[in-house]
Amino acid sequence: MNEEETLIRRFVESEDESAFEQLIRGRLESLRRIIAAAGPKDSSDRDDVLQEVLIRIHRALRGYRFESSFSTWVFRITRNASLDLERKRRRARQREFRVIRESRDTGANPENLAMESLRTTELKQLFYELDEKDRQLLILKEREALSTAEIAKILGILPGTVKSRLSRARRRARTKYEEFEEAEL
Amino acid sequence: MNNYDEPWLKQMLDAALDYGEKPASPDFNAIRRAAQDAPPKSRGFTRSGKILAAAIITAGIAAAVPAAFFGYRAAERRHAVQEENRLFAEQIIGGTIFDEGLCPDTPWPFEDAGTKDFFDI
Repeated sequence: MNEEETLIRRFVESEDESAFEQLIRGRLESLRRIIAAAGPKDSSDRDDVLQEVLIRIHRALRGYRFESSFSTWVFRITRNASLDLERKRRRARQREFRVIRESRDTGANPENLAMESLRTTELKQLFYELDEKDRQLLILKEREALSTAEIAKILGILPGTVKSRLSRARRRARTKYEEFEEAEL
Repeated sequence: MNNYDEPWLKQMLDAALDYGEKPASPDFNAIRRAAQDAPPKSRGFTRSGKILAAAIITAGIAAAVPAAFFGYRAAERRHAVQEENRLFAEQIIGGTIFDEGLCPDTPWPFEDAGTKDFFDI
């Protein structure tokens, strides 16, 4: 039994909360990147979503069957929960702030906008112009360095689709980047 | 883990992820409390199961009530028509047709029995 499995069993069988904390702490940054790819552009929004996602993971962990690796399982839950929460947040925001929608489309609150450099903001905007699945693919491959099979499990698509979609995502991102660079000159 | 062969991608991902900004430390106590206070995992399913069952029963009642009503009326009408036909047939066959010599048992040809043409009845 590896350390991860021991921690999961400690949490599930002995309700050891410190085991849950240990399991999660090492993955916080990865989880936050997946959350970022799912939609929230603002760092405080990402932290809020992270908190909600962790509640869902805590609840779901008792049902973990060791059929896939824990990382794959937790990333998949994170992505699904983030998408779900992002949809809810978007609907709530649309209801509350219909009038200031335009300013929100840039993706960050005014304070953060002021702090970020224009170039960073625009590059971030380019990233968010990609499909959610394309964003996840880029993050999971480039930042999380996951295998094609793991990415396929997390996104619920075939490994062959991961490869083709990943190269398309790269191409799209590159085109956007190059157009942006040309406009800069 | 970054793909340094493609610096443009690194730039874009760095910008999107706020240059590797660290996540705020989650409140694990709040997570535990929220998870424990939350309804059991199966409740959502049970609730949707109940809603589904209620919807099926309602739809069943909604379909059965008019069907029973119109079915009953149709049966009544059919009985009434049958009764009317029976009385009519009794009257015609038992009275008129026999009286007029149109009994089906009348031996052919009609003219031999001195029958009338059907349309003359």
